Order: sequence, then C-alpha cells, then structure tokens
Amino acid sequence: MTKTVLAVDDSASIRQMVAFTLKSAGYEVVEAVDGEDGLTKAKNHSIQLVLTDQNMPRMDGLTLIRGLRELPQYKSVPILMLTTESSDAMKTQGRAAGATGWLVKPFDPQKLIDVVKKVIG
Amino acid sequence: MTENTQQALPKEPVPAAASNCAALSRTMALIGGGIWTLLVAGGASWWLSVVAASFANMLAALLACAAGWFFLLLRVAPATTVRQPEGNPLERLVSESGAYLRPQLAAIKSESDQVLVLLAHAIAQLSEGFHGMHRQTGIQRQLSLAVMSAAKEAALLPANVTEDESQHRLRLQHDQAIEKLAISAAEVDLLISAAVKGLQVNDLVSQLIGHVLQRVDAIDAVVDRLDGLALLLAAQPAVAGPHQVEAQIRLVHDSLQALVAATERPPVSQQSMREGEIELF
Repeated sequence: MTKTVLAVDDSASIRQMVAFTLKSAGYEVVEAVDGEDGLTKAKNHSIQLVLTDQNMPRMDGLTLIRGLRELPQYKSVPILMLTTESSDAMKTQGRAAGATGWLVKPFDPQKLIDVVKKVIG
Repeated sequence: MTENTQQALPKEPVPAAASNCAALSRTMALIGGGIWTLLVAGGASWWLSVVAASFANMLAALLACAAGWFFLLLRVAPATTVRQPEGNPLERLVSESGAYLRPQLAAIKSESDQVLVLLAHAIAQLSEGFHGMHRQTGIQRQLSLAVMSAAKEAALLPANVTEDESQHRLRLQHDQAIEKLAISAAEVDLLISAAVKGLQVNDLVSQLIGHVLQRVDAIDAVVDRLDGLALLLAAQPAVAGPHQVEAQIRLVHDSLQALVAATERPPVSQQSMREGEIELF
C-alpha cells in the first residue's frame, strides 16, 4: 500500500519540492499551507508521516505537533520538522512537543528520501 | 520635566555622552586644582622665604599644598561620589532611541547581505544545474542514437550467425553506451538535487525579507511616536501639558521595546544553500 506523507509549509516552493521528491520515491503527498490547514487535513486523511515547517502564519509547527499528539490516531505517527530553525533550544522544544526528528533547510532530496524510508519504510 | 516622568521610565544606564561629560568635568577640576595649589604653594614659599627660616619656609609650602589639595578634593568629591542624575527624560529618550535603533539598522544591513549571499549561491546552483542538464541531454541524445544504431544493426544479423570480431565490437559499443547512459542518468539526479536545493532559496529569502520588513514596520512605529512627541513639544505649554509629554515619551519607549520584541529572533541563520543537518530523536 502506498504510504502518505502530509507536507505542511507556507512556502509553495518548499511544498512543491517536497512533493516532487517524495512522489518520485513512490509516496503519496498531501499538502497543507500552515498548521491549521495541516491539522484539518490530518484529520481527514490517513497519514503515515507528517513533515512540517516551524514558522508559519495562523499556526506554527510546534503547535501543530502538540495538536496532532492530542489526537489518538496521531499518538505514534512520526512527525519530522523541516525548518530553517537550527538552534538547540528550538530542537529541544520540538522534541518535547513530540517531534520524531529535525531537518534543517535546505534539504537534499536523496537525504530526505533516506530519512523518510528510515522512519516509515 | 517632572519627577513623575523620571519614575515612569525604567532605569537605564547613564548615556555614554553624559558619562564622558562628567569625566571631562572631573579632569578639568583636577587640573585647575593643581594649578591653584602650585600658585598658592609658590606664593607662600616666596613670602616666607623673605620673613622666616628655611624650615618654616618648607613647612609653610607643605601646608599650602595640603590646603590646596583639600580644597581640590572638596570640589571633586561630589562629582565622584554622587551618582549621576538620571538626566532629562527627553535626553534619555534620545540616547535610548539611538541605542535601540542602531542595532536594528545594522541587523537590516546584515540580513540584506545574507539575502544577497543566499541568492548568489542559489543562482550559482541553479545555473550549474541548467548547464549540467543541457550537457547531459546532449550526451544522452548521442548515446541513445548509438544504442539504437547498434540495436538496428544487431537486428539485421541472422539469428544463427556466430559472433565475429565486428559484431563483438558492436556489442561492446552497445554495452558501453548503456553504461554511459546510466552514468549520465546518475549525473542528472545529482543536478536535480542541486537544483532542488537552489530552489529552496525562495523560502529562506522570503523569511529574511519578511523579518527585515518587520523591523522596518517597527522602526516606522517608533518614528510615528517620535513625530507625535515633536508636535507636543512644539505646541504651547497651555496646549500640551507635562503629563501629555510624559505620556508620549512613554509611548515612544513602549514602541522601542516592541521593536526589540518583534525582531528578537532571526528566523534564518543559514549563510549558504548547502544542505542542513538532520537529526532523528
């Protein structure tokens, strides 16, 4: 069965790059424009991995992670942060919120595929 | 300005200019006191040399010196022991505004430079990707033709004919072309990877420019408040009382604080378009 990744980013170019990369590796990709949109789409789709940015309008990545972790169906779904933020303080906050990993932009397509494969197969 | 105004504003360090003035004043007092001491001591010595013995002369000179330094210390002591006054709230505000605004302008310059560096790096990546793809497309076209030609010649041969030298060479060429095509495909993958990284510049630059605009908006708000203060100060005292001026000074101060709060954390620290680190928790 094809696995579905939810890509949450307010930057259209990043969403396109993530979708292009993951689709070429055989994944389905659902796109969301910010945390709120991501939370709504997460409730309406069966998602195996969430890939989210941190700095977004309306709802940021950390708030999205906390919101997802409150949903029973997302208690154990891997959530990766894909962000320009690289400080240890932010990573600690991400980990505490329930993130599975942290990727700093810009991402290398092959390495993104490798990480996604490692996390969800 | 009233006492209330000074209490309303938070304590800030004495501005550098005021501190320099105080130091200059103390230095001038020391020099003046020293000259005064020399004059008194010299005068006393001369007078006593006329009327008394040399010991008395020396003692008088010492006493005159001591008196001079005592007087000098009395003059200098208040400046060194009493804390500098907080200063006029307006002076403090002007100094404070400079202290807040200058780093913001430096940050705007730095973030603008960062945008230029990221753009240059991304454009180099994309340009390299474009030229590389163009080169690989040419190579692949030639290789495809070679493979097709070899396949066509091989198809013309009867099935039961054993492979002679020319046929062997043809098969080798075919295999080599296939191998080169695979290498070229891998090269194209690398070029696409570099282009994908380069295209992400849009996100990084958008965030940086957004942050610069936040700074500019916050500085704009400070300037608006300063304009309001200037209008109040230009008005007649009957129109703009001290309380209104105090309130406006507080508003300017608040807008300076808001400026710092709004721009505290830069969203992008990347200085190049090289891929970022990955960490799994």
